[in-house]
Amino acid sequence: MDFSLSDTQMLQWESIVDFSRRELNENVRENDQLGCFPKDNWKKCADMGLLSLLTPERYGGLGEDLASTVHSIRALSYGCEDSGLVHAIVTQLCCIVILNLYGTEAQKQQYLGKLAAGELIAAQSITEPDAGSDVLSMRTRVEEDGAGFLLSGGKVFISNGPLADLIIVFAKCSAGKSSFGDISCFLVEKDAGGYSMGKPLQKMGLRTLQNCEMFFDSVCVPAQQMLGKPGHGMFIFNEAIEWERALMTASHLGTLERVLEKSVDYVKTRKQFGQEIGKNQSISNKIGTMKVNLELGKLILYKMAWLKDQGKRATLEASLGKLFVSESLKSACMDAIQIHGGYGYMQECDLERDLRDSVAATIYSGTSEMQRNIIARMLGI
Amino acid sequence: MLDDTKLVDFIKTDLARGKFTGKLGSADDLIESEILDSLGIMKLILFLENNYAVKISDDDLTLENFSSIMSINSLIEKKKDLQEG
Repeated sequence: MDFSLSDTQMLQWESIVDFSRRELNENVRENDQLGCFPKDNWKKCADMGLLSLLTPERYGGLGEDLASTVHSIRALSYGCEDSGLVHAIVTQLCCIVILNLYGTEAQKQQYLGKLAAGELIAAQSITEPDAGSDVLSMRTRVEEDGAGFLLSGGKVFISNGPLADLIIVFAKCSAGKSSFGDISCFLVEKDAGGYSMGKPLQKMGLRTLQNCEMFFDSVCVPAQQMLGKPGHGMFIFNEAIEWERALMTASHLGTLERVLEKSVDYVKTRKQFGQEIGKNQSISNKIGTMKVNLELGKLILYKMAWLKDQGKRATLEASLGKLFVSESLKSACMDAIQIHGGYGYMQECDLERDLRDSVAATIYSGTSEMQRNIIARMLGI
Repeated sequence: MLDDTKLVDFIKTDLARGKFTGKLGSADDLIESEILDSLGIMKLILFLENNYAVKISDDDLTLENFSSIMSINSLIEKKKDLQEG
C-alpha cells in the first residue's frame, strides 16, 4: 500500500493553491452577500484546466484519474474561499463524467470539449419537490413522440441551473411509483422549446452557486439526445452519485484543511491571561479533533477514488466518506468560530460563511440521515 | 449449472428484508415484487462480483438481466463462459 503522492501531484497541489489564493479570493464576501456567481473566476478556472480534469485527452481534456482529480479539487477548495464556485465546478465535473461514461460518440464530440473549456455550463436535473433521495418517486414524465420524446414535469434546487446551457434530465416513462427500470436520462439544451426556469433561489449558504427550479412543458427531445439506454437512468444515477460524493468530499476536505490551519494560526497568536489560548486544553482538543477528522477523511476519500479508478463500485465508501467529511466540516466550522470568539462571529472573519456553506454539505447529494440509511442497508440491515 | 443457494439466501435476507416471506421461485419477478430497488441493485451487483468472480459491465445493466433468479443465473453463466473462453 503506497500512500505517497507523485511529484506531479505535489506540484499540482502547489500550483492550484497558489492560483486559487491569487486569483479567486477577491470579493468573495461581497459576491456571497449579493448571491452573485463569479463568471470571471469560472473562466480563470477553466483556463487553469480545472474543468477539464476528468475529460479524456481526445476531447480536449487532461484525462486525469479520479485520485489525481480529488487531489486537485482538495487543493482548489483549500486555496479558494468561495465554496459556491468550487461547488459549481464539481457539478460541471460530475456532468462531464456522466456524459463521458454513457454518452454516444456524437454526444461526446458535441459537448465534452466545450464543457471542459467552460464555454458551456452543465447541470444535473434530478431532484423534485417530492423526490429527493427517493428518486423513484419522481414525477417528471417522458413519452415517446415520433422520432423523439416529450418531457414534462418540474425539478427543484438544481445547481448551476440558472446558468446551464446543457441539462442532464432524469425522467420516468410510467405513471405512479416507478421501479428502477422506468427511468431514462436525456440531454436538454437551454433553448429547447417548452423549457423554462424559475428565479435563482435565495439560500442560507453557498450563495455564489446558482440554483433554480426547472420546468419542462412538453419539451421535445430528439432520440439522439437520450443519454445511455432506455430505462438505464437509475444505473446512471447510481454511478454518478458515487463520483459526485467523491468529488464533493474532496472539496469539503480542502475547506476543512483551510479552517484547521486558520484556527491553528489563531490559537498560536491570540493570548489571554498571559499565554496563547492554544495552551488551554478545551481549545487544543477542538484542534485535535479537526486534525483527526482531516486525516481520516483523506483515507476514505482516496480509497473511494482508488476504487473508482479500478472500475469498481464504491457505494458504501462514497456514503461513508460523504457522511464523515461533511459532518466533520460542519463541526470544524462551529469549533473554529468558537475558537475565534467574537471575532469568529463577525463576517469579516469569513468563518461564518464557511459554516453556512458547510450546512449544505450535510444535505445535498443525500442528507447525512440518508447516508446512514445507505450504510446500514449495505451492511444487510 | 450454477449453485444458486447462496444467491437465493442473499436475496431473501439482504434484499427482501421481510418483504417476501413465501418461497422464492426462480422465475419470480424481483422488481415487480419490490424486492429489488435502486440501492438493492447495487448490493446485488457487488454480491455477484464478489461471490462469482465476474465483472458486471454497464452493458449488462438491464432490467432483464436482474428480473429473476433465473435471469441472474443466466447472466452469471454467460459472464463466466466469456471470461473462461
